[in-house]
Amino acid sequence: MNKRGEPLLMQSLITWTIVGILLVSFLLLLNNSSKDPYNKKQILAKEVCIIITAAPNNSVISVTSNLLIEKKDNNIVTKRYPQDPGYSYPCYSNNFTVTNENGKATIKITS
Amino acid sequence: MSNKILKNKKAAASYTIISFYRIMMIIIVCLVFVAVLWMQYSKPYDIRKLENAQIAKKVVLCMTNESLVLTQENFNEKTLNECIKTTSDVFLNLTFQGKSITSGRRELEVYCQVQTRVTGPYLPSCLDYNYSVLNSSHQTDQLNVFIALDKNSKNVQVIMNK
Repeated sequence: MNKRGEPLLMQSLITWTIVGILLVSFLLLLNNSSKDPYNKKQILAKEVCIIITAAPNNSVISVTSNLLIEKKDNNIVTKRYPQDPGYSYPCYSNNFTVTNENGKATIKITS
Repeated sequence: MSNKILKNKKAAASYTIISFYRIMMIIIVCLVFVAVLWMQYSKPYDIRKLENAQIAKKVVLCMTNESLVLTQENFNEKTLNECIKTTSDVFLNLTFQGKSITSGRRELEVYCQVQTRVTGPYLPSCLDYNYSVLNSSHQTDQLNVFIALDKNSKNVQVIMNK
């Protein structure tokens, strides 16, 4: 066995292992940024708020999602489970009520 | 060759230092790369322009009773406040036939004027819309809707407190 190349081989191995770890963590970071529950909650809350703002009076909006949608002081709150503090977005241009049933949120625009 | 270098103690020491330096450089470059991307991807989605457009459309339809006919009698602050609930996050200014009506937080208008000279993350999103409506004599007239929307904390990355 050729022992001369051992230090160089070790150095290359260490270098490439570090680069590999960093690249994998970077790819995981990018992958999670789109699937991140916080991002999901934010996107849903903002989407719902825009729909509520655009909706005419007395309309009913049905939202099917694995997240819970609630109303708190005219804020749209999206949660993963009932105890989750969730993500809240102020949405006050219309009066509305939110009811959750069987994983489906129903938003009624009252005025 | 590397074995020869390693036999020389001084050369071996500098070889270790160079290796350490090389690894540190790679780590630093990668960390900076990841940090910059993280900062970019962790920004909240700014939907204020979309909201502004929806609010403007809603106000115009409401003020004209969805007929796009606007009369001076309907054009008052009471009707505007009935059309939309404004809070400290919004400022609305409607101009029609030389008359202006406003609702919401007036300071936001000043921030919008500042925005033409200064850019910053904590300034409101300001938009000016011109709608063609029919006046009482059923002729085309211009309705100007100016909207300033704050909601910075939910739409702009907050690095430090205001």
